[in-house]
Amino acid sequence: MARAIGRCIRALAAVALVILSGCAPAGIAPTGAAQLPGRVSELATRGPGAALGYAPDRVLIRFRPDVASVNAEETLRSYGFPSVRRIAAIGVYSVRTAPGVSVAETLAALSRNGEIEAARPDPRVRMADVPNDTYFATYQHNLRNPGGLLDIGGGIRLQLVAGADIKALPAWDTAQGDPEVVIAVLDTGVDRDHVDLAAKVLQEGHDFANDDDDASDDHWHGTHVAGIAAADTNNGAGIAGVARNCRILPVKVLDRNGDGYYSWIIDGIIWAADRGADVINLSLGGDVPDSFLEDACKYAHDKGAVIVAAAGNDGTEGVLYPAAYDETVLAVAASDYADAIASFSNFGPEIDVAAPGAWILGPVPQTYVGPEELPFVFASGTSAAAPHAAGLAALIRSLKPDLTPDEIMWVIRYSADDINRTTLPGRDDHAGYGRVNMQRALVPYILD
Amino acid sequence: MGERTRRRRGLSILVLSAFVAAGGLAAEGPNVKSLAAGLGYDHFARTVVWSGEDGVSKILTHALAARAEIGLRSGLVFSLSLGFALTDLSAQTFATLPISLELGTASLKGFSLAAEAAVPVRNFGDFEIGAAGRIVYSFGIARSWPLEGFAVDGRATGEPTWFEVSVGPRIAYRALGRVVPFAELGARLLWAGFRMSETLGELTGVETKHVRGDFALALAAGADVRATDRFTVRAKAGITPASGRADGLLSLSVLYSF
Repeated sequence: MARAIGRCIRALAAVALVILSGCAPAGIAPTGAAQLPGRVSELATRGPGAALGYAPDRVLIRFRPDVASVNAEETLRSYGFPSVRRIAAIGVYSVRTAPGVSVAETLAALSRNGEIEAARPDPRVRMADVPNDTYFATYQHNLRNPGGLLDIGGGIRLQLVAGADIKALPAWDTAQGDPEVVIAVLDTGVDRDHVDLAAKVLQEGHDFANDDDDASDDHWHGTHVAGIAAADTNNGAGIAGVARNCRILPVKVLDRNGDGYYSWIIDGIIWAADRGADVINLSLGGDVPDSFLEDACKYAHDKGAVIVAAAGNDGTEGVLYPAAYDETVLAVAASDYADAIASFSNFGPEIDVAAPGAWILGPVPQTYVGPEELPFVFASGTSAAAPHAAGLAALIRSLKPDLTPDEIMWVIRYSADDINRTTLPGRDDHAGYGRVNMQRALVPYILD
Repeated sequence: MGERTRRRRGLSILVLSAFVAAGGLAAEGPNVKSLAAGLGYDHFARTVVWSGEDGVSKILTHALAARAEIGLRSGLVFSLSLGFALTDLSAQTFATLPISLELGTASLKGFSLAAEAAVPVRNFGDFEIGAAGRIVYSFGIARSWPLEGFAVDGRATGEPTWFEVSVGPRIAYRALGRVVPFAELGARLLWAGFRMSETLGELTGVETKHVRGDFALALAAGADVRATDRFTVRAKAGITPASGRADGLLSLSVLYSF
């Protein structure tokens, strides 16, 4: 795999230069062009414990520091617990509840004991539902980063930092996406025949670059972006997508060279919104503000679409448009596999969040890499970052269909990890509120 | 119907019941046989399924109340109590809030108002057959939790209320002098609401869960023990079968007769 991908990397390097040099000032370009290419224990019963996911006959207890362990154990024996086990290293007791007494009743009784600092249910643990996609475990550090050295071919080795990811695995226990929730990918088109996308791409689509209904990808960028957002997952092939069960509406607004015009983008945004797109991903941008483009974003936003856009890959101050439309568009910067902000990522006060955008594996059309190569490449850019946030927006919409676009955008912002808090605590112009955290956005917060 | 409206309606029913009963008693003035006051402790557990939940959860209540009791010559005994209730709620997920919240186990303090009546209908030898009824309304004091770990500070606030009506036959045995054992079969209907609100920066949300008219049968047994001429101790224990398990209820009160 690494060797094959390495060949792809070399091929894409050349293409990247073409794309970067071909960005017309008056036009709009994809912002992923800076690539250096290259169960589960069943819940058998539905008792109170099963409903919440904790042991039905066990609780965890910690006494106040001034309570000696001898006294603590004597206290626990007085409750009639049939077994008391001390986890000495952290001063916690694991006890079995008395026969016929529920966890809730036990905790209620313990809560009235002044010697006890904390008592809580013993949460059920299960083997993480790891998707079986071929490259998930090894290469998708953006979704689950195990740390260590990752050889992606072409002589490139990445020093991963464990946990520098968007916490996809724990989040997928809560939400994997509703197939009725649609992410419109406004880009160079999407390869409908790709093994990792064929089942996910909606039949309809439109090509505003060539003014027809064929939104196939004659580049590679749109397919890559679509795959990050919602690749077919757990299909035993390729990669996992963030919104693994949501579907993709392909809208081609960039031509075969990766260039486009505001008019195509405006048409694409309105077309996608009119077809009920829940999320609109724009891994592209232009340098100049335009009130017509802003109006199109407002139109889609008011129709209920969450608009996510890439910040740009110049590494300078100045967020591209439409990402810079603060009221209606979520602007996404790029972070890397060590939770640092990528050097190429544009910055400015409009940045909302960051997402992984360095060496992200995604699908590309077979025609792009040639018949001998695997149709997947690593690419870098805020183009790759944006679909992470778009996928998360789709999962939130799936789980909470009544939330407005504004609310979904705030959930994504507030739940982010402040990855550069040591130098720039709080919201800043480089990472915004931080790198998106699917787990915090989707998994219920426990009140105790 | 809003939660506050429901609460006002419940309170109105209770107050109205009290007024009706008090009016009846006033009209019967000369027929008053006994007046007593005291303290009581009530506990009950109730397994319920909240709206929107797949699994069961439990309402556990401990109430300490001041009680006034009036007995009429006809045998009707009417009591009112006002107290402090500690309600434990468990196993609820509030998934429509912007940030989903899961309530593991939480004790929420509140007040309880109760009106209770027991009336004899017929005697068979030493056995007295009658009916007993009870209305309890608990309105919670909100409890707040900080929401930590987000980019901004947030807070969640939970506010429970519940209302229970219980009515059924009662049999008492009056041949033991100062000790009157009794047994009751109660049909219990429970309405409950739990309002959870959330504030996190620009995000706000409210989600309310309900239990609407949950029905259960409770079998209870107890005794009135006239410890002295002035003091009576009343104890009652019972069970409510609930989907493979039994919920318990316990009541203990000490009354001083005037």
